[in-house]
Amino acid sequence: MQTTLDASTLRIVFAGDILSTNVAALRTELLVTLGAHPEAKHVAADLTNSRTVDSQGINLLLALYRETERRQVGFRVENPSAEIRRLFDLLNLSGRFGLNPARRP
Amino acid sequence: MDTPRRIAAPPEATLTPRGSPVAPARVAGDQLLTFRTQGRWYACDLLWVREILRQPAITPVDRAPPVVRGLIHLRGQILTALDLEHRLGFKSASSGGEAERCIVFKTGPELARLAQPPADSELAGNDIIGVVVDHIGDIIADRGTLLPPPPDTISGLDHACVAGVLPRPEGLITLLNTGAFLSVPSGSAP
Amino acid sequence: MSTAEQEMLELFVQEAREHLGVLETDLVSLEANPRDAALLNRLFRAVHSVKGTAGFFGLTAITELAHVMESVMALVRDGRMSAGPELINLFLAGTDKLKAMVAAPERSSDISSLAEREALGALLRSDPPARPAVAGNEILPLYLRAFRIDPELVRTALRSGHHVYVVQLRLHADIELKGQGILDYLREVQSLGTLIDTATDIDEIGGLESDAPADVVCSLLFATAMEPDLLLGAFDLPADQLVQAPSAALRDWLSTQPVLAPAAPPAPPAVIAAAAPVPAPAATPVTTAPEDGTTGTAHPMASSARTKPDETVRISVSLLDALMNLAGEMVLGRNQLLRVAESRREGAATPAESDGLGGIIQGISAVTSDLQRTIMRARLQPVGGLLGRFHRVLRDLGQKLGKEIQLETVGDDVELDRALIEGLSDPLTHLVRNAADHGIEPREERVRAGKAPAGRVRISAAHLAGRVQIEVRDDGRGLDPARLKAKAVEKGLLTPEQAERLGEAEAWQLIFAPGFSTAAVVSDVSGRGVGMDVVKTNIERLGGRVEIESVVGRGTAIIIRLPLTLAIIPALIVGCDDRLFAVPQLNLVEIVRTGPERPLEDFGGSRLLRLREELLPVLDLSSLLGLPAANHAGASGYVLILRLDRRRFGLRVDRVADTEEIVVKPLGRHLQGTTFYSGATLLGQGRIALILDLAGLAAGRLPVESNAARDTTRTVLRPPAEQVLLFRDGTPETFALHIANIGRIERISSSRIERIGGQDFLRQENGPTLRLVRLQTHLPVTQPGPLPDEIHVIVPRLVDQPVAIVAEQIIDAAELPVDALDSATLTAQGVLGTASINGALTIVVDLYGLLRSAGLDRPAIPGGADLASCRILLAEDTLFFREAVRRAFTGFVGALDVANDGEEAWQRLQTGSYDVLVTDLEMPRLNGFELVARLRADPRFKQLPVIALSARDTPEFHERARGAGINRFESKFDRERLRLALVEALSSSAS
Repeated sequence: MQTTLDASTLRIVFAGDILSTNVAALRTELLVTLGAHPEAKHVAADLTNSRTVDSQGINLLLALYRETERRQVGFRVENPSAEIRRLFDLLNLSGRFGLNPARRP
Repeated sequence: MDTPRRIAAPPEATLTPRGSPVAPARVAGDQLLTFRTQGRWYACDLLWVREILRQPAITPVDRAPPVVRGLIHLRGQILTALDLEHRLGFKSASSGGEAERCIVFKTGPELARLAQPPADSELAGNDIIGVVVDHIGDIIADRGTLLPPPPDTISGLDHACVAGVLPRPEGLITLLNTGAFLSVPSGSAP
Repeated sequence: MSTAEQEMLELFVQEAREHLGVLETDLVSLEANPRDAALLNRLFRAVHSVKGTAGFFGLTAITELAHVMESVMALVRDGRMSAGPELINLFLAGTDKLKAMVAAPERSSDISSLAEREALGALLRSDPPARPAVAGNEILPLYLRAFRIDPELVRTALRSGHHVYVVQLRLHADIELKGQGILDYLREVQSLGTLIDTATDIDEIGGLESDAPADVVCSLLFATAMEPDLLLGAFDLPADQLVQAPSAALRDWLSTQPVLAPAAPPAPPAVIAAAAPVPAPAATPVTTAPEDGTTGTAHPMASSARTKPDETVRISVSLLDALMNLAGEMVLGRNQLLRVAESRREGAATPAESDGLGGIIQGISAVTSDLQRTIMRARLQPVGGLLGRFHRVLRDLGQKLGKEIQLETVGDDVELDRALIEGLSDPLTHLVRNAADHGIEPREERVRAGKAPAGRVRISAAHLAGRVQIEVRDDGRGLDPARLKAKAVEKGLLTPEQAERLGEAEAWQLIFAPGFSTAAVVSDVSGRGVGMDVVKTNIERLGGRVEIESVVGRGTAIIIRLPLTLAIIPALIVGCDDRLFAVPQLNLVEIVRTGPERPLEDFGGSRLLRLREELLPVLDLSSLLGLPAANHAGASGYVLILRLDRRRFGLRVDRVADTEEIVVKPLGRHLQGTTFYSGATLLGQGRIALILDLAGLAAGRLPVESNAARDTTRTVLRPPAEQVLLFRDGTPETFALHIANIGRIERISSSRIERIGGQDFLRQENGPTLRLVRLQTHLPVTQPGPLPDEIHVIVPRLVDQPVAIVAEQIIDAAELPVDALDSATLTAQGVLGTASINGALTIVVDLYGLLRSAGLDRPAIPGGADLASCRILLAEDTLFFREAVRRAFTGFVGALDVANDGEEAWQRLQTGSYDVLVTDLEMPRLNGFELVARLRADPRFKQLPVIALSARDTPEFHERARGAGINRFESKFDRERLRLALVEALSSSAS
């Protein structure tokens, strides 16, 4: 996981797929990262390196979303793979994740 | 099943009223089904009859009381087939041989659905019971005199099962008290 | 109201009942686990679906109350309010009201729930409303408001007669756990209908710091032609995750939406009638019928409400699938028949086709039987629904009585016929109330008695030996026979003399006497003096029996045994002659093939099977039933090794066919009294098989009759018996030897006997040479003639010398009642006494005495403990058994001291030194369990071997004995078993 702070946006680039096998570690990392950058006004979860997510991955992203809500900062997902994007569409999460709402299937 | 059409058809209202009973209270309805076993003729109230099975396959029940001839599979149900003569208490009764016909009687709930259930219908239970007979005769109207069963001629007779004897041109017919006939004879516990 | 609507209303009533049942149980559990998320969700969903469906029928009284309850539950679920006892009381009160309303939906508006709604509403006002609805959705039922609904999709769906559902989906539990990917699953969902909208519930998910992340729950708004059950099957979801959206409400909503496409004609009524009532909820006949005044519309409703319980059955999707498959096979068969008929018409009937016809008919007949049996399964229901109700009953009772009572239910998944479940409801309620009221002591009393402050009631259901057994067991004060008798005398039910003669078990039976109540104070809970007799009558009406087990101070168990009507049990189908029988699989341990290479050991009329180290009595089914059969020991066949309570025995049959799940059918009234059968069943091809009643088959034919399987009273009155082998040895006398003493029996040619130094020996190929003992040389009997060509030798168990007893002729195995033994008439070493068995005077051999007089004494004790120096302490309060045990051990061990109860035994142990304690379990002052508990807590006696004696021969009692630290458990009647137990206890303590 790489993080960069650009202007007021904290961009978090996930290293790979977000799955039940790694969410526990990611959760801690995310908490540390958010704690280290209280000045960030936006959080962007960059999924460039992620091909897929499972239910726990979705859960983690939703938890991150809730966390940003709590901290009253913005949140968006960037560069989802086609598969992830399709999943977010079907689950009606794209809007929440700041992705351009596509016409639902 | 092979229930004769005339059994299924409801009786017409053209029958004469019953003759005055001489013997114990009549329990039979207006129409009687006659049948024969071991050369003797019997009759029972048609209202009690559910259907007639032709040459049913009987599964014997070893160590069962002798009144029980065996079990018969009837469309997913299991019915207890009684031996007529054993049930009546004839000492000489010989069970066995091929079963020609089995008269299947209605259960309590089936009788209760009738507009006018037979008077002794409360003796019916939930289990299905049949009786194995040799031959099914005609349906006759129950009219004329009913004689009390002669106690001397038939030894060991269970009198509760017999309403009386109908003298007919073709011979004597023993009329059964169907409800009592289908009940468990006293002292038959195995 | 149309039939379809009426049916739907019935479905609603049934479903709502189930939900309310769950609600009640879960509310009680919630009190113990106020933060259990799964529980809270389930509660929420239960109220929610009651509300949703009631709304569909315009049952506003139900909807209003359920709505408030749901809202408050949402607060609890979201952690904004905590579920304390008061809140739970409120919920329970609400549930009661809902139940009353649901019981008669057409009159639900007559029941006021104002108090409940206000109390709950007050709680609500302290909290702002939860999640916002999508604008314009306000007229939809609550659970639909959060969806963004495309009116066109809904319109099209309704027009084509499709149903609209809300499907709850847990991404992990419902998809991933079943090995599927979420995307694949959702794609599959889309192939089954139209996905209108998805709402992912993020309220459930906390921030990053909240631990144990919840599953992600999505709600799909979905339109499809599929019926709910099919859809659940296709989605592989539990039923409570699917809600059908009322089409009427959707249609109303549609009317408020702008129409984009050209206006569609109103949906054709024929299609809608099947799906939902056409009029808006407020105008449904449900509410208008009473004012209507015409009997025509009011009646069907009223009658359907009354007869509801029997009218609809919910069946599982898998069952439905099985039915579908069978129906498919029927169609196949029909098509085959049509083909044959066709070719016949064309004059092409050949013999080959005639053969084909036979096969087709056979196929169809098999499918028909299967079809029928499968349909019958639909009558079965798990008993859990019934048992679950008692959580509430006990909670309320506990509050009322000021007692804390815990309920445990076992066997919730045991399936019983619906009729049986309904019939059990009242009797069980009464028993549970009794247990709470009379059984469980007040808290202080329990603490004083050293018990846990909370009482425990355990209701269990199980299939045992082809019967259903239901137990209500409490750990309360138990039934005190003395108190029961006094009460019965006081009530004039018994004379003091009669009471005096009653045994313990008979005294227990007094509670079933009409007009008998044991409560010192008549409470409004159960002690009205009617009840237990009614319980008994009701159970007997169901064809069952009621038994009692009780230990003063420890608790009471009421055991109900019912015949399996219509139940389905796994069974082994076996054959004898041309008959087929079913043996409950539950009792089957293993199957052993017998034949010339593995013959049964034949003792006159009786058989024994040597199986590993055990010698099992074998009953022959053919001869029990009087069937002509190959009835000699070497005949090939099978022995079923069966377990009945604690006993094991063999049952010889000719053939073993197959294992099948059989539908148990009760026998007709003429066969009710038969002891050998517990029912009948239909096999494939419509054949009838009788179900064997193993307890009935074995009754009186096996060693040590168990009292558990039979009527308590009868067993108690019957003298206990020991199993002996009868044999002769060339003299007119008949001898009896305890079967427990016998290791094996061999038939040998007498020419193999070698005489060396005035003694007889038998050389064995594999094993030591046996010294043969002849009874005639050691016992005072007639002198025999010469040996026949073939004789038997009996090799005893647990004897350390190679020795065998000669028996020229084995007669039979028989029972020797303990009180039949006359030990005064004939006294000699090697003789226990004489008895009349089967009409013949018999000498009962004392094996160890005989061996001693032959100079061969002692049973083997590995580890070298010496019986002659062994000291036994016996704790036993009953004179009869004190004497029986004393006789069993006198001359066998060094010394035997007797204590009259546990307390006295404890005192004796302080001063004397003992190698083994033999103790009764039920004694006054200090019972066996308490005594052993003391011993095990004391370092001095931690290792002391303890043999327990009890007539209470149930698995539970054994379990308890093992748990208490008792080394051996013996039924108290069998002398030789006792001796063996002693030897084994000594040898294990020595090693």
